Amino acid sequence: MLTSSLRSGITAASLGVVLVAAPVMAETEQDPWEGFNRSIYSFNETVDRYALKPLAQGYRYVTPDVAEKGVSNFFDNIADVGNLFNNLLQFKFEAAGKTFARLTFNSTFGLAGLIDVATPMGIEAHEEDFGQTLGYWGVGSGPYLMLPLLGPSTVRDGLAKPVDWMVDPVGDVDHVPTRNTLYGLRLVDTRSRLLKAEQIISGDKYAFIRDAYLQRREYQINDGAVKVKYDSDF
Amino acid sequence: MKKSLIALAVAGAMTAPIVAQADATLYGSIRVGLANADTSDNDGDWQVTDETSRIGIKGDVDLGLEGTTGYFQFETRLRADNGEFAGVGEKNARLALVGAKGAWGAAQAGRMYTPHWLWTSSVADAGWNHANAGVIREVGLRQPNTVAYISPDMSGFQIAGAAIMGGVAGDAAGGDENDNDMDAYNVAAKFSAAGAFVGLSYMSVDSDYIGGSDYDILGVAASYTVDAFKVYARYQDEESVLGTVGDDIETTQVGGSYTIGDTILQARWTNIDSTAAGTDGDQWMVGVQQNLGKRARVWVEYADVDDELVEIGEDFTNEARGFANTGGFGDTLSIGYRLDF
Repeated sequence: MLTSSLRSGITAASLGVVLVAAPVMAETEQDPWEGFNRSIYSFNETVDRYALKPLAQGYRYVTPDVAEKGVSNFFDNIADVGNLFNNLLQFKFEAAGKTFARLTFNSTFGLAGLIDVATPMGIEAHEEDFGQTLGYWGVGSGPYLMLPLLGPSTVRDGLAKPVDWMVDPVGDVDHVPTRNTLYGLRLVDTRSRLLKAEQIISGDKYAFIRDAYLQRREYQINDGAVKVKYDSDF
Repeated sequence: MKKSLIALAVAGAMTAPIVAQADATLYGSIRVGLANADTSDNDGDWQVTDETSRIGIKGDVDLGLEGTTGYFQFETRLRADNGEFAGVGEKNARLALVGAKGAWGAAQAGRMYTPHWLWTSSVADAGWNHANAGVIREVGLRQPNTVAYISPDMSGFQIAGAAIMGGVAGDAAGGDENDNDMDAYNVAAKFSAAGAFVGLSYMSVDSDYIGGSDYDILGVAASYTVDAFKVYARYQDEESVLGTVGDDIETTQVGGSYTIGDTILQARWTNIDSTAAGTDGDQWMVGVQQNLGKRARVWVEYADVDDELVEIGEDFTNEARGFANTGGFGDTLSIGYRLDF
């Protein structure tokens, strides 16, 4: 818990540092549809303010930490199906093997994914989605795109989302009420995980989220190897 | 004076056994599983299983000979599911042997693994954890009443011969009229170098020993290891004259493993083709194993077995002597935990 908080804190902090110099350029080059995006963003913000965020805060308030962790682990385990698929598509066989092992041990020893036994056993996660796969194959991200309800994306990542939904096991649940409950719970879980992270947002919230998103995607696609351009007098 | 003599005698008596035990090693492996097997014995219920746990003692003994050392090994099954110390029978009594080894090779007598298993069957079976699903058409796994010679390693080449003399009387119904001292024999050879391994074995079993018919087994196996990958193949042909278990049973196995640090992924395909039973079926196995430190592991394995094999699997007999040991056939999901000491 502490390490994951630290990790997200460090990631956020490092993103923040990089972002100080970045936004002006990003606005023009990577966000040509800013006006449109901002209007979608304000719609999303309204939905979030009056529905999603209060729901997530309530969920966090009433649910014991251990149960919250279990729910997060459960959905992380389900997400490993997509991670496996995309690692294979990126020919990362070692990561795919590890992801398969994670999925196997967490689904059995980890009681259907409620407990993440794989991480302490030394089998680390390798998260990949189809947008990253396209990026890995060399497909450019295209302009930044704010999607209604789905949040920040790019043209490439937005077009990739249906593929991610196809490999999402929740979509294969035949019992409709169960499936919808899982979708709803995952949404609340995802939002509640962002509650802590959003506390560091400052200044123009739209620009902050856009830049953080774009930087993070680049970081993910390059598996952590980010090109840093230093000024000549640095 | 008297007291000190007694003390000396007591000290001497106590040190003698300690010296004698110095070269003996107590070892064991406790393996517990949770298995869901869809077999005739167990219709899909989860069951805590023993995955062939064992405990043993082994060691070397100085024979006072130059270049030759005595050795012994005793190993028995200890059931982790209910705590029983197992008795005789193929899966229970395991090893009990004494031998001598030197630059000339090794000779041993007692109950032991056959060269057939060591150099052919085990190539496809070692590494799998679940006891039943992993054991498929292993003939002559361990044999009692056996003497064997194993040559030294000659640049990767080794030969071995074993004779099984169980004192079984001849003239069994339909059996051999001649009463041979030797109930079965096994000759085998293997070559290994630079990650490659090839093993070849021929075993002949007298009808009186196994009951019913003479029984010949030919086995060949090969494996190749390069970096994290290992691939292997095994073929075994069993022929019996009268055919209580089928005139001709061919087993073919192909498999491989991929090791990523402490994680091992493996898969294996097995085909059994029995002419007498008119059966031809496949078994597929996949497994994931995670090593925890040097002496522990957890695993998850799944075996998918064709219905035809489930049926004939229960017809094979003579398990007690280690022939046609098929275990419980059926689709099986097994998760397990193993500690070695």
